[in-house]
Amino acid sequence: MLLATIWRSLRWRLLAALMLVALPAFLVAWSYGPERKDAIHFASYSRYVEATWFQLPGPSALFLLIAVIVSASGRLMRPGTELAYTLALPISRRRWLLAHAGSFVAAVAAVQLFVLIVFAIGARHWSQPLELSPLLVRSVGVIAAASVWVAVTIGALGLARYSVLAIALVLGALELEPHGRFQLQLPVTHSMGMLSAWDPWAFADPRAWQGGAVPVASIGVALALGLVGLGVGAWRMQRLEA
Amino acid sequence: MTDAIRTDALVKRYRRFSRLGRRTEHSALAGLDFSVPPGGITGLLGPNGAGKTTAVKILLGLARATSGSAEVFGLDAQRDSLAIRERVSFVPAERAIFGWMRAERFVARVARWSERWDAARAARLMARWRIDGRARLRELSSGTQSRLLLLVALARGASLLVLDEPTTGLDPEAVDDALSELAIAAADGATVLLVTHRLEEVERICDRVVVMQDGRALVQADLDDLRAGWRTIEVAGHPVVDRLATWEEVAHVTRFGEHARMLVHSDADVVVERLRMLGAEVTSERPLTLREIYLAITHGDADAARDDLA
Repeated sequence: MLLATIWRSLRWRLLAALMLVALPAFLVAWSYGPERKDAIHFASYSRYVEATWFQLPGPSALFLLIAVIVSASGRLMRPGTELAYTLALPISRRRWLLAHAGSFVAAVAAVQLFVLIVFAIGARHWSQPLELSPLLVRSVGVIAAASVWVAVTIGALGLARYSVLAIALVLGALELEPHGRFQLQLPVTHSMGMLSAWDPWAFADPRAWQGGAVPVASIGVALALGLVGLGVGAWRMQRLEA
Repeated sequence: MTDAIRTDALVKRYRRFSRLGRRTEHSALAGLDFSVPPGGITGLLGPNGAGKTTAVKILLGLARATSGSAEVFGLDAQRDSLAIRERVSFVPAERAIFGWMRAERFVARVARWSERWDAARAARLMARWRIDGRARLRELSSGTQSRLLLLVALARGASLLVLDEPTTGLDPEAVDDALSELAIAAADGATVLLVTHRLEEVERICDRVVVMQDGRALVQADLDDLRAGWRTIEVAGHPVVDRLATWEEVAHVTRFGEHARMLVHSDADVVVERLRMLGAEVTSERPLTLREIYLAITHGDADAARDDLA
């Protein structure tokens, strides 16, 4: 009952997320070429992908948008007979909320897996080896950073109830921050700036971990933001009258 | 023995905002006190807006009471909601739910959340009620949707069944079948709370009734006691007619010139005897049907209510 209902509301938003990410992922994979490789001195296709996709500002920031889209579920907190029937079964509200949150994170991970598959196709196209482990580590970073915005969107849903309003609330708040996250810069350069150390997305940038550094401030802010978002969502869920 | 359901001074107020932003409050429940003993079938009656659905939502933990308490099998409806829902089956008044799901998958998914799922009973009822398991719920007729929800409620093996208009859309034969299944569940020890407007169904299977109006329980009694207590008595012209309305046993008096008809809610024999002792001529006396009793309780006078409803 739980997963079927979640999948029912999630599938179209997941498709929208895949469509959103497909073009930039293919663009990055296909923009690699001998002349470009020479121009920016990247040793390999994998390093190129890492720098082009994962460094910020860059297209991996799209996962913030994707996290918001997949999490903005109209069914999560909107009263109705289906919700009443589901919650009249021995399904706790906490379980209902966490099952949604887990599914949203899984959806983000599925989109990231799709991106990795595109990069693998690119590697085959350019006849280049793909160093999978660093890309997987970066992917986990992106999924972790996106999960924060899953929680924030759930919190926004708790306040706004309607998905469109929740999306507007989160993206509107993001407009207030000074960094231009959604820039696709090709060709990529080494001189691109980094996000603030306090930015909750900064820890997903590979450069934040260079030299054994741990981006404590970014992780701390991300954790706080995620907990507040989930806390607001849980509080509203407990008070929800189905 | 612990009551299956007990509410004490249960109040539910909804806040609303007018277009001018002014806050108003609407009371759905205004101090509801009622109890349902374990076992048997209790009919929860009342006009639209009486607060029946709100009371059910609070009992199931789907809504929070503003004040007062609600208990199911001695468990607090808010605090112990999960434990309560493990023992309760619910049929909502709205049938058009999970329209996208196939019937057999709907049954299987509810079964996963039911510790005492009776698979044999589910299969038997699926076959007997001719429910096409491959059909999506939205493809089923309204009556078949009702049967499916009832089937699932029965097969969960719950100790308490809360059924909101469970026979909506059913043909007479299917109603008979559904009511007999409810009777079997009650005979097996389950408690059934039947929220309904269909008084003929209440008369057929309920042991007890609770009549609600304006967020309160006006009457709660065993059905037999209720029927035995209520009478309509007609009296020929006599000075006592002017005082009848003040008698404790009299619910309502209607004057017809020199005659009067009164509805008596208790001790009808005592009232008749008293009238005769006072020299009044009792021209007729008869018991009331449940419908008449219900209308008398909720409108004050069965005949006047019938006229109003017409």
